Amino acid sequence: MSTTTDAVALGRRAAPVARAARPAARRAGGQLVLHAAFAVACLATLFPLAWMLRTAFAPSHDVFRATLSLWPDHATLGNFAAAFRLHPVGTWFANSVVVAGAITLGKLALSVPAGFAFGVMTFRGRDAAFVLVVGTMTVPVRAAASHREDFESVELRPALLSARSSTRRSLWAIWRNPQEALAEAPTQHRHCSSAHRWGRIRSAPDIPQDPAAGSCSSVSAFLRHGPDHP
Amino acid sequence: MTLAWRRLGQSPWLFAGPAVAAAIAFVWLPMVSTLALSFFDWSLLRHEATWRGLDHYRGTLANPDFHLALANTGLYLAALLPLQVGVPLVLAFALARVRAKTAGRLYRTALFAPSVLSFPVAAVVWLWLFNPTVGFLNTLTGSLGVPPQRWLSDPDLAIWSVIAVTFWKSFGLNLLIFLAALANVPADVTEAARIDGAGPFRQAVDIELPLISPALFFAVVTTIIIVLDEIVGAVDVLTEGGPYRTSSNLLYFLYERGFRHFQFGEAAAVAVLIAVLVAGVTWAQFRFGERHVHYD
Repeated sequence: MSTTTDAVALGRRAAPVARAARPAARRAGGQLVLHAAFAVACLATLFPLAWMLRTAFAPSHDVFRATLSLWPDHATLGNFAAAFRLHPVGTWFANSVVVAGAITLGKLALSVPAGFAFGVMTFRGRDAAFVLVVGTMTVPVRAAASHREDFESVELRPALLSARSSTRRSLWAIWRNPQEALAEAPTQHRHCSSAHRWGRIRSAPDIPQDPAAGSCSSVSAFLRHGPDHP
Repeated sequence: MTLAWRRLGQSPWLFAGPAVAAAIAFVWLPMVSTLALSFFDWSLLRHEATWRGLDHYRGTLANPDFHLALANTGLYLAALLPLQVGVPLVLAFALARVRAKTAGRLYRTALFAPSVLSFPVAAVVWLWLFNPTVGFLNTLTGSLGVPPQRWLSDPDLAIWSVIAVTFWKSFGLNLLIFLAALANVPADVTEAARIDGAGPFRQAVDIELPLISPALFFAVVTTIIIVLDEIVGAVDVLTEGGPYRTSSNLLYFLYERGFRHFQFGEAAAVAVLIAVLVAGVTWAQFRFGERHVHYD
């Protein structure tokens, strides 16, 4: 970026003769610098995504190996199969689509007419109403959700949240002790064993017992498995 | 009847009413009940409340973890605001000067790509790069002869790792906002400047920058809100606020009080304090920042 700026500054000092003399060459040079800079920036931006793909296609012995190569030696689809086998990924995906779709439609249905009213019409109380609506942006979602009723309705909130918790728990478990995590993974959903463990570790005393969930609490079950847990 | 209907059809409240009602029902009423809750202890198990008055506020304001979270939030803002606004701004000006249309579109898409991820997903992507033993970053530094870093568990480094991930994941949105604003700068204005002898740098600073100042202001306001609110997803996945709470922030502190320790009354007090802080910062921006904005 500074190169461009310098070139521009130079150009201004040398103007107008130099600019008139070789404008095309200077312009081409500037474009070349721009393209080089953007190529570097784009590769740097895309690299973590490429690495994500690499990890996704790498068999586990390849994942836990220090390497700089951008593609695993023995690429496999096994991780995807395992993800679908061990977790209700399909449900998570469907939930995400439903939630994202409903939120998008809801936002449009509410904000497009409101934007029209605030932007085009003049009426009494307009400014107050505008502050009420736009002010919601400044309220952290989680601040509003810390109330108990909202906590319960959290179960209706984005599947993303549940996917996130589950992903994190599983990921951290695998991270810290791969063998143990992978060995216990198939039983997690049925028996809720690790939900219990987490509950104990985090010493949450006030979790209500949900008879439908057997011996594990609905709160930690939700945190662990998402709203679709029985 | 017909007259009344027609009047209703022209009423601004027909358009603005639903949004106002939703804002009240889903944000402001819960905020009021959060405020009420902050004066109580609330037990999830017994579903009963005990009056605590201002105890939660006193406790929170005296809590060293809260002080740390507050200081960290300040650091997140101080680091991310210039990055999140400055870098996309420079990129947008540069991108607007790329003549090849296809290449420009390609760059824009690539730079925006991480922004479509959610914070937790972006954080998971980076976990693989940050891993101290098999992560790409340490493999790379190792091959360059630099000793391996504990990116997420070094108290001096963890918060900067979170900042890096946050920047990577969200600078694209501001880039898009600036590009859209630049595309709306009338061509005759920039052309007039060019004929008058203004180089690309002069055009950018003296002509285009003032003309896109509403977008700039919008980006600053929303970036602050993102930094205060949404990065908690990245904090949670990457470091869980650690080590020693060095990468925690206010929202993560709130999340811990409410959803880890189930101290809902205390969490509500924290929520109220955060809401007051954010409202204050936003008000200050409109009060003092907006005077530098040129609306047509």
